[in-house]
Amino acid sequence: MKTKDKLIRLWAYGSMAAVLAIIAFLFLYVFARGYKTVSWEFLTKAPAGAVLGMEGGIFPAIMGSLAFTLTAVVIGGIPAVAAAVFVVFYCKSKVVGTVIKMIIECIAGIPSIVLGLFSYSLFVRDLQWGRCILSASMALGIMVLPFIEVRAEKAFRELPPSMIASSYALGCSRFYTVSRIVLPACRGELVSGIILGACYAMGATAPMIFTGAVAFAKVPTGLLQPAMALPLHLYLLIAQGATSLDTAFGTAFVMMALILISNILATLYARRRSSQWTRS
Amino acid sequence: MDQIIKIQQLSASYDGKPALKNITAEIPENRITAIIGPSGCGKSTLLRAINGLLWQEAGAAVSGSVLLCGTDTKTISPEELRRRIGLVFQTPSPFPFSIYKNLTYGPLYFGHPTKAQLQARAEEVLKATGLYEEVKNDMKKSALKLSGGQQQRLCIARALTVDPQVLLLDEPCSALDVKNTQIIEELLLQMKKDRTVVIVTHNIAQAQRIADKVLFLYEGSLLEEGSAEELFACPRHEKTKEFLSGRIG
Ligand SMILES: Nc1ncnc2c1ncn2[C@@H]1O[C@H](COP(=O)(O)OP(=O)(O)O)[C@@H](O)[C@H]1O
Ligand SMILES: [Mg+2]
Repeated sequence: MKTKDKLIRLWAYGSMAAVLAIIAFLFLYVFARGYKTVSWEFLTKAPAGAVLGMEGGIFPAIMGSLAFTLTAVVIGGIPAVAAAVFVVFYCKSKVVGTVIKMIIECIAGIPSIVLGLFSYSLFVRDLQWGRCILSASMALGIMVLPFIEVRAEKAFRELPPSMIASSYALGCSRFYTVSRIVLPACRGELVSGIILGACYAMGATAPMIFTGAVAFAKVPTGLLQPAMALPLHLYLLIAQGATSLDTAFGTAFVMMALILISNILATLYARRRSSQWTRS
Repeated sequence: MDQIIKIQQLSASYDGKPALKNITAEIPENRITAIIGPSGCGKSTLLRAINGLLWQEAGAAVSGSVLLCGTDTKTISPEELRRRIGLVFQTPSPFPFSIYKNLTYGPLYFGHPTKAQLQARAEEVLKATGLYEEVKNDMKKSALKLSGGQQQRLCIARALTVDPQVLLLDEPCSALDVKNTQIIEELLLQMKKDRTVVIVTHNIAQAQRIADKVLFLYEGSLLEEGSAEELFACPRHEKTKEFLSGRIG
């Protein structure tokens, strides 16, 4: 019994160490290979060179990625939070609740390239929006919707039921209760869920390659323009082969740094919010 | 002595399982009425029936009626009814905001009070619940940082902010220590000057200390009701005697 216990412990600690080591290695590797390329110029210039991207920077791709991500989070986040509010506070019928849950799980299961195809045929072709930030963000928004919904719903369900009941017992409506108690009380979880959703959208390539991301464009000034995006730029740099590998690692470095920083900020924000309000 | 609430032939069941059986009772105005009985006998359900929540529960089948000042509560809008009949729960459940915001939440919903009015109302209910001296200097502090007893008194204060005629309390002291329990009992005795109080309590001694009238529920039925002196001194029903002597419950 004792040796069995020890073995299980060893296995658990070993796996944990292996996972941590792999993650650390991956980050260090990308950072080590990328950091030489990353300079002020790299961050603020447009790509250039005989083979595009070999020289110059990635500024339009950073701005493009931010535009895609922000638009996607707005498009996906608002219905996601609304759906979570509906399911937890408004929906009285079990059947409706189950159906909504199923639909959301289905959306979560759609391969992102299929979302790209859908958005391409509906928004780019049929509605003639063309390849633009909005078309791509529709696909990205649908992709992050279940991601944010699940987190919002979890936060809502973890609120003490007697707190919500107290508001109803004062005679206040559901709408007042949701807008004045539920949303403010869950602000930390909601903001961090949305930031994590944004990270997820920022890393996705498939939904945007036919629908809005292009190999080269200026910094976008409107939602109906195509734009560059970091993941697609990275893909193209790798596809071009050895000559662009340095800038590829530089791009990967910037992407990972952005996502890492956002993740840390999201975690800190959620933690600060919750420590502010809980006892002691 | 006027009867502010009249419960008439009230029955309720959850998925066919009866929780309240044909209850008819009256609650006197500006008095403290205690509802006692073993756990699971339907005390909380009866409170939810009085403030109308029970009719809106998905799994509950309800019949009978509750009259508030002679008006069937089914004809009063749910919001209005709950404003007039406040409810405080067993576990202290302040909103996760500052003390002050807890106390302005209700008034802001029901009207457009000025800042001065809000402040006055908050101070008034804090004084009524004996919290004023303890928190007057940190009204901006998170309500969750108060002690359990303070939180429960804040919840009572919060219920008072919308000026209900009747205040229902569901075992408000079961999570509190002796000292806080005593404070709450005193404030309820103060409160009955201008409000009707209905308290569910598991604590027979508490009912004895503060109640004017007592309802004894047993397995969903109202077995016995009467003035506190009468009921505690000479319970008529066998089950009441057993409950009071601590043999059931
Ligand atoms: N929401 C509900 N769904 C199903 N059954 C319930 C619900 N609320 C109460 N009951 C049942 O009704 C009976 C009375 O409950 P309750 O009024 O909470 O008792 P008490 O407050 O006296 O302990 C219990 O048997 C309980 O299981
Ligand atoms: Mg109860």
